[in-house]
Amino acid sequence: MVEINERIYPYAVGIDVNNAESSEGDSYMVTFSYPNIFSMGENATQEETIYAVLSTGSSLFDAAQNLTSNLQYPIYNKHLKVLVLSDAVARNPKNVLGIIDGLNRDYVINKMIQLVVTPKTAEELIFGKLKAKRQRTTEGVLYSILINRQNTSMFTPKTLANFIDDMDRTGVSTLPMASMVEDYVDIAGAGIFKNYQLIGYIDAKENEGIAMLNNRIRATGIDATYNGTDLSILATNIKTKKKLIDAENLKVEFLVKIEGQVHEFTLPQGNYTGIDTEEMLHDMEEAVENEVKMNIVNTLEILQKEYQADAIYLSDYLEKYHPNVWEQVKDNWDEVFLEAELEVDVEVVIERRGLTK
Amino acid sequence: MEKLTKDLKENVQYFKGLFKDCDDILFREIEIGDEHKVKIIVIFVDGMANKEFVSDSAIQSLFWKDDLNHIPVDETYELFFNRIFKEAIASAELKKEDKIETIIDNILSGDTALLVENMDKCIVIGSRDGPSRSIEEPKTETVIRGPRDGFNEIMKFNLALVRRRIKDPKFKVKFKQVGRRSRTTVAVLYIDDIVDKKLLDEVKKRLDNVDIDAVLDSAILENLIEDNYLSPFPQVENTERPDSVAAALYEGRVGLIVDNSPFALIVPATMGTLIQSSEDYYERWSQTTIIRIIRIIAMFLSFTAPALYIAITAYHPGLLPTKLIYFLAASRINVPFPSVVEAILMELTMELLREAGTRVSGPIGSTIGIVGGLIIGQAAVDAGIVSPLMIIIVAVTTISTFAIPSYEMATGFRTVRFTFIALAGVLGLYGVVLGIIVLLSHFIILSSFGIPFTSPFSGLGIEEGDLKDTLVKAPIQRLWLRPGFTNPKNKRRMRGHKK
Amino acid sequence: MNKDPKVSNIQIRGLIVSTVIGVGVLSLPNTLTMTMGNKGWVTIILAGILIIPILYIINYIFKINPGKDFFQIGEETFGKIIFKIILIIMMAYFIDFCAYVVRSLGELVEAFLLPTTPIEVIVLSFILATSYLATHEIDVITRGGYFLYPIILLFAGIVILISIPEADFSNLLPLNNIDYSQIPRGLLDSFVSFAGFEMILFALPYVENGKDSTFKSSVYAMAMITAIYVLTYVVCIAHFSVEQLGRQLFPVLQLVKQVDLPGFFLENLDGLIMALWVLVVASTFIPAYFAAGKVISKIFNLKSHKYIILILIPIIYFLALYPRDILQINKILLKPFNILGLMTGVILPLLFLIVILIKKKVKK
Repeated sequence: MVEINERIYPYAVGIDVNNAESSEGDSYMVTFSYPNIFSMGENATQEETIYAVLSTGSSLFDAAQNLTSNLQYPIYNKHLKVLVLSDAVARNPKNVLGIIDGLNRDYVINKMIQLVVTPKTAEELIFGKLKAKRQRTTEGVLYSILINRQNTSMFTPKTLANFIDDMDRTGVSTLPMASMVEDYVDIAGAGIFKNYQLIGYIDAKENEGIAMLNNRIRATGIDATYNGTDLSILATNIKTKKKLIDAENLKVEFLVKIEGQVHEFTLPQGNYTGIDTEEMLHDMEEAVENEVKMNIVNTLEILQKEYQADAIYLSDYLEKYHPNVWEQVKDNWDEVFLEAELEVDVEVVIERRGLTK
Repeated sequence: MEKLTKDLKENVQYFKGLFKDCDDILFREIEIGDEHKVKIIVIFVDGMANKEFVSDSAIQSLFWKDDLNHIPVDETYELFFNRIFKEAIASAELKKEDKIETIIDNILSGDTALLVENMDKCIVIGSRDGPSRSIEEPKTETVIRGPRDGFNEIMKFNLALVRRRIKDPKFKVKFKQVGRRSRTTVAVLYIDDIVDKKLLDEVKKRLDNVDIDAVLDSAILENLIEDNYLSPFPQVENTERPDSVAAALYEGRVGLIVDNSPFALIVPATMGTLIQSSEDYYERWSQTTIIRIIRIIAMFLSFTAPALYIAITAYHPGLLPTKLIYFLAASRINVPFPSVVEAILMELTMELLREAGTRVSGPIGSTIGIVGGLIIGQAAVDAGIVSPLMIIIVAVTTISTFAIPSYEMATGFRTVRFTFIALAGVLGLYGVVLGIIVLLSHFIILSSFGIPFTSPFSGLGIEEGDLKDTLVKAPIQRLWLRPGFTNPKNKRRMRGHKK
Repeated sequence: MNKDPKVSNIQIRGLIVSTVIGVGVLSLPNTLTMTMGNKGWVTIILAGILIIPILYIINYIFKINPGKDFFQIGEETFGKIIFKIILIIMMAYFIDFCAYVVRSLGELVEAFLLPTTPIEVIVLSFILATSYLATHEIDVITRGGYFLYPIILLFAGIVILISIPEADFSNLLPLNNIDYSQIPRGLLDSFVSFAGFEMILFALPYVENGKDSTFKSSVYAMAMITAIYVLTYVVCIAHFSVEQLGRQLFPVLQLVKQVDLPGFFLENLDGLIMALWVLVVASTFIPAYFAAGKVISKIFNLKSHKYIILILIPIIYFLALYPRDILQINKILLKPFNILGLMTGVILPLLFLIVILIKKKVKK
């Protein structure tokens, strides 16, 4: 029986590769960050709100164990919210498999823990965020940014459960990429994982493309050029449907339907009537469609040609809706994916113009 | 001596000997007739018999009756006796009696005995009176809407209060006596064409089996007739309200009114009935439904709240939301005791306060509640002995205990509360659940006069729709059948609906 | 007062549901997915349907022998000696049932609730707590079953409802690649989760009103159980991939842990589910414990099974703790449970039927 105030509840943890010379089986360097309960509540006696501690170990749990030599209370992992994988750790599939397996087996760790990858070291990120400004929540800035449904497409949060699910279905997953930009924590873009190995990064725009295809965006802003001026649209409803066109030579069509409203539009000189003709609206929609299609096609290229990573759940789609086709192609899926013809058709409907014309 | 003899002197000697040193039992000798005088001895208890009434309607009417003063010479004592009996005494309740035991019983209940010379029978005048409380609102069961008369200690008034509400000749009242020395009268109340005969017979059988010196209050009787007297929970309902008794009788249950006790007993009692209050029937159904659900939550909280607090904070902090964890931990930083000790300390203090509050009545009593609750609690938190959440938990627990309509059920839960705290301290949430299993088992095993205690939750009475009136409260239009758990004979109580 | 225990029709329903739904729920999706992929719901429904004739046989046995309880009918049908052998097999079954159930529960409680408490304490305290109710007669047990039956429905309801928002039902597709060769194995796996309906052997003779609709009640109960199992299975598939289900030992619990609805302090649901779960297991364990005691008391011709229950405490305790880990649990407790369960639940009623029919023919 351990009293509630006699435990430490870390909410973020980062895993790095241990570069020290005398590692001896302690292959990871693990950083925990946890709030300082003495700085909370009415009888707050201390100022610092978060602490971070560092340890080495052969696994997450081993490192927590090793920390008992200098921490007063035992670590209780149930409230871990974010796990940061460093680039070095993620590049090695054995590491990733081991970590994921450990998390999966453990009784205590919440399977909704958010996974995040960072291009430098996790230690840097976690210690960095201690000094980051503008963070006052008890759950930490990483977690708050991740789950805060800000309707953004710049990154797609993934939990442990999502990650394992993706790996089982398609062998490909994306994890949001977090880094310290000056003094602030920034999460944008994603790292692509194939078969539990980090193979590359995509930026925010490409992430948006993938997210659109996977029905993972709630709303986002799209910029397009129309008649030489900038047009800004807020897309509120984005749905994608996949359709198999040709089974022999794999050809799949993605139908993206976007509903949106006008955010900002610079009217050309002398036009006082605003957006008022059907034709004008239609042209604007077409402009947005082209913009989106370009982005998605670009993203698909990168996925297919550069990474050969099916981050768009194509194999899952075939397995469920066209099992006969799947039977034929599943053995050399990588090749098939490379050669597959992926067509994109975008349909934009601008429903509202805002308060003015 | 079993029966009166014809010798007045012998009778009086016997009585005087029996009532030796009972200075409150008075003997009055009168003589009637002018030429031929007949001696009459009047015996009564000062304070229990209405002296005025006895003087007026018994003794005075004997003196003032003209033709009594002219007693014909040839009239036998027997004839004279019958004349007095039929024509002279202006009392509504009158009987002839010759058994000594009954006469003693009557005198000691407040009746007056008239012993006549040369007669082996005496006249017993019903003159029971005595100090009694006026009819007041029952202190333990107040309602916002509904009748406010409550029982007092006098049997006949109590019976009247119930009879007023059931003007049906099928409403029967049978007297029985319990207690060898106290000879307390117990009235068995039931409605003949509704009640289940087996239940009635069982009640009568149990009353007959009571063998004890004295039954001072209905509570003692309750303990003697219930199925499992070792259980911390009551299997007999008690109430101070005549409307509750009447309602129970209409449901096919049996009521017991005990002389000298303002608490009437109702059998059988089940969990369903023990969480009802009479107010439920006088308010609107939607309100009552919500209140009943709250009551059930209160019942649950009254014994599990501190235990759950201990279990969750000490064993399973993972069950709380993250933000709550941090603040809870922050609030407990400098508390020196483990939460089990905290809980026991505060609960004990609460019990002490409650006990002290009941001993002291009036304005001081309520001050203790405020002083204890606010000040001690606050002081304890400030001193850092107890965490503020603990105070809240203890307060919630106590309030929940008061929300349970049946006082005995509440005390039953109070008793088990400490066991649950111990269980939580040892085995956390698992311990609490094990405790609940044992408690539930106890309820399931318990039965009240043959009816399972957990009706209607355990199947008896479901078909008659008992559930409509326990967990929630259906509007009165929907409750056209009597509750089924008592196996009543006459199921339909409202017209216009078919089963 | 309890010379002849009395049970009502509705209580039978409650007894069956609360006894059967127990340990099987948690791990059913796991074992099924390994053999049947994401089409396991087919075998669940099949298993449910196949049990109905057995229920009919059991009801029939009691209908044509009115007024006699199971032990009397058994003696008359099979003769004393053979019936005693049958009773011994049943005894082994129920004791194994108890040991398996309590050990599984112990493992779970230790893992999720009390990691630092020795499993011996957990198991022993459970057996002690439940022995209180098990010493009483069948009518009390049935009452308990009916009382706990809404709690079980509540448990199932919570699990299913909270997973619906985030469920991806397309995981059930494709619907037509059913691997027919695996169905028998799938049936066997599912059958274990339906074990417990044998309780009605002890309760049916005492039903007092509505003797004719006991079959209906039993079928209704079975339908409810099948529905709950199917829904739980479907919801698990909708949340996890087949591989993940194959890995997870307790997918239903994982499901509850993984739900993330906004605005609720849902982390609490974890604990509520675990607490309810212990109650659900208790409602399964107590009838089996009672049955074990009753059967043993009849083997030795004792009047009351009270003392047997007490003697069983150390027996079940040691048997439950004998396997060292999960693999041994499966080998030592689960396998015999399967076999004995089939014997008691399926073969026994069939034997009864055959012998009764033969006797009828012989009479003619």
